Amino acid sequence: MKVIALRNRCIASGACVLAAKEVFDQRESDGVVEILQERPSLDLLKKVQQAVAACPSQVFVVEEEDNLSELTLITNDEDM
Amino acid sequence: MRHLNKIVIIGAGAAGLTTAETLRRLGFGGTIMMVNAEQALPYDRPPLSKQVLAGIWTPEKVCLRSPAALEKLALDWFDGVEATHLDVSGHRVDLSNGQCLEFDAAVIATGLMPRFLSSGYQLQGVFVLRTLDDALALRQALGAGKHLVVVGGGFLGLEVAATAQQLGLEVDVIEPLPTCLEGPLGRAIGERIMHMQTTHGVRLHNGVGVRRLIGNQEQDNGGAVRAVELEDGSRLSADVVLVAIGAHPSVGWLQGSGLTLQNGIVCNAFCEAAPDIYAAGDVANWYHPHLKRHVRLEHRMNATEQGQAVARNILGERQPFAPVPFFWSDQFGVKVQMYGIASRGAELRIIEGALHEDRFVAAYYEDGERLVAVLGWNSPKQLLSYRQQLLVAYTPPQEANTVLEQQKISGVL
Repeated sequence: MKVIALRNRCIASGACVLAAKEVFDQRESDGVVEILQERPSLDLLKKVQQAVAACPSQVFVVEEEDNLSELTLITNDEDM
Repeated sequence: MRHLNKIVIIGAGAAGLTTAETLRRLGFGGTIMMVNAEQALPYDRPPLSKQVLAGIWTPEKVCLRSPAALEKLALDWFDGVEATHLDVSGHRVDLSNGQCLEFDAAVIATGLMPRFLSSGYQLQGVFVLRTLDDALALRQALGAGKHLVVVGGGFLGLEVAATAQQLGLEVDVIEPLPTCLEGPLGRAIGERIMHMQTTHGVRLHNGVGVRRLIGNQEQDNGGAVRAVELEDGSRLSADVVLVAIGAHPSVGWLQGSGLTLQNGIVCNAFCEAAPDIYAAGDVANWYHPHLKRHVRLEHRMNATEQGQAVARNILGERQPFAPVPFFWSDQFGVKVQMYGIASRGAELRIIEGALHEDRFVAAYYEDGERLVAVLGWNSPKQLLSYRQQLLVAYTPPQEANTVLEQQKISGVL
């Protein structure tokens, strides 16, 4: 599963951090999402899925959703 | 386990869609029927007063999920139709197109209807803002307009005021209360927001109501709006007017259904309004087991959290829904965020920075030392760390096991 964080959409709610603090953090200056681990352990898959679902501003786009043998997170600062 | 094959979700906004998505994520493979009063794909509302109105986002950017993601959820859509009657014991809902849907469980997520002034809506240039269509129409009017008058200085009114001011319009805001947002934020923060608005050139008129909207064809009270008359007799010229005086839950269709309707749909702590009938989002007035009272929240975050909770409870988890409320507002690049609920009269203390600075964190206390809410002003990350302290107030009280409490939590009202 690949999770892309469209950071231009982020409203800094911190919902992803509450769901998966091992994987997500917030920028000190404006609270926008930061990714701490680009390839987290698969043990964190459920937490990452909950973070994706909890976001109130649809920051996360999920690709290859059915491939649960890999977990990759990347940021995208261009698109919304 | 009881038979659960058909679930109907009435309302396709954030709460309704989240419920559907969570049901699928948790493995529900039965039928999910979505009753969507609009023709548009499910979309998000917070950007309507900001990015959409400013023209920064095209309308498709507010879609909650891509068409491909929606397809994958395999939902049965009923677009452009409304629910007209709910048969609680018969487990059926009638639709405006004449269809009748039978269900094993129902979720009511019909959201809000904007409140209207008693008159003036026949005039061109007078708007409310709730739907995507409302936002696009208002955006077009702001593009051609010079002078916006906003009736109502709440979150929506002030966000639109900020957007319009940044688009180059003259903006007046009329608010009957002496301080904007004093209810949710307290006087000091309300005044801080007013100061920010006026510093950017928005003219605030507090402590006065609106008498009427005046058109340019005064004899027949028609044409386009040209002014707003206040209760003190003064007039503000306007070519665009936004009426943002709050909203009420869309529950008119449930009159006579037997559900308890009081400030929305009254629910127990599991968000159940009756056996197998749940409510989520802006319409749900549910019993918050830690606050020990019924609460109805018009917050975007609550739509998601309550949709998830309802889905889990439908599937048998039966967990009381006890979130820490959260909302945000963006105005002139300032991000105001709050966790918790501050009652009127809560004591405000600035715990980081200072009230006049560009960043600060404030805490609200009741009865002396009980922390009930925290507010961040351009301080999202800092605020999250204070949320932890607030959790104490949202931890299940041991005495919740008393008989009375149990009845309130699980009793269907």
